[in-house]
Amino acid sequence: MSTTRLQELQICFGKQKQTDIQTANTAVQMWQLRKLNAQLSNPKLNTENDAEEFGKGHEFAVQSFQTSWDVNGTLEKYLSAEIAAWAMAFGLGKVVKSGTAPNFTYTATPLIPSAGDDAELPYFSFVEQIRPGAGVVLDRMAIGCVVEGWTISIGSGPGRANSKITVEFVGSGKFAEPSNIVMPGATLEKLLPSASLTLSINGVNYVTNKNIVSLETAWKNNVRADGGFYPGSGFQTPGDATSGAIRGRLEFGNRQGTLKFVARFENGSSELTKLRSQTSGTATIGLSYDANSSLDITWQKVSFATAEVGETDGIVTVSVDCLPMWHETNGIVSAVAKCGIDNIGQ
Amino acid sequence: MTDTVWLSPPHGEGDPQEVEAAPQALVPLMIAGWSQCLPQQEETHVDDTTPGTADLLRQAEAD
Repeated sequence: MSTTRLQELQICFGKQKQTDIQTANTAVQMWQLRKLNAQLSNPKLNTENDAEEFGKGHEFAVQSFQTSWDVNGTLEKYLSAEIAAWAMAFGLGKVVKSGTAPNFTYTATPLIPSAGDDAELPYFSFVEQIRPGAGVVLDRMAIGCVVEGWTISIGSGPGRANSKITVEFVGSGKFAEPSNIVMPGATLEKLLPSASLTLSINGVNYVTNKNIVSLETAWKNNVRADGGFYPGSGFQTPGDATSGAIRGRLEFGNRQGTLKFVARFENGSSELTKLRSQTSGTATIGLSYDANSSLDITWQKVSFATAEVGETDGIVTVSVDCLPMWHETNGIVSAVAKCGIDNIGQ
Repeated sequence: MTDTVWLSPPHGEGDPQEVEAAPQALVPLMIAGWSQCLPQQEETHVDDTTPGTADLLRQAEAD
């Protein structure tokens, strides 16, 4: 028997959105990217039994039932222009594509239902394969997945690990096994290294003054997973009530933006003063590979929620948690991602 | 040449507009509910004061 090692795992997923929650992406709508984490997106079958029911004469189960399906997963990656564009488009939900090859530009903002936008996020399919075909070990596709949230972490140091993104996703529960997807060739990604950072928060350029130590920014959709199981949401096998229910929609809940950073604290540092005065301003984060591959995130209005002086490697630093707030004209957050891949989120 | 995109208004009310593809222009509109749509055709006006070919043929038949 040949041992199967996880290095053989290949993943691909929709760079384009599905037409609806139940219609899987086709292979040409997908791309293959690499990832860092070992976690698999195992479809989980939830079951119930009749142990609590009266009339059997005892307290033990005599029957079990397939009730519903869950799928979720996490992608950990070095931050690249390509995955950044995808995470912004699918994570925030609204995207406008402009430009031409090799400089496609994706401008992304959150969906605003009060302005007529949908509350459902764009859906994609997620494929995992190990030796697909005759000697298959694993070949399945989760259909109708949405981005639950993304986190971008920027640190100090020379390696690629100082610029990473983590994307969490949840699925409708529907899956196909085998996937019947021919894995596309791997996409060549353009890394957005920590050394390329530009950062201005609340009127201070933290790169020019050489004070930034680390930064984390995140978006969480708090998807209403249980709300996807509404009367009539459907089954794993259409028309078969014994095959377990699947979700018919995935809507975001109360969304949250996060921005926190650690900077050197020195004479003239203004973080504590701005915390006390509750000064607000924009926060702009930029990372780039070249003129055609970059990511710019703008939190339209932030104030400091906490600022604590501490130390990092013996240097006095201040750790700041920002409060992203709604800006009357520009909303909460926007992202402009450039890369050479067409049709992301389209 | 400035890159532009077409956006349709919120709730489908009103005509699509061609907008400069710059964040300063796009973000406020996207937040206000505008969404990207296919480029709109330029309007073509029919000149109905000059007789077209079909009119000339009808005139010839009448003669």
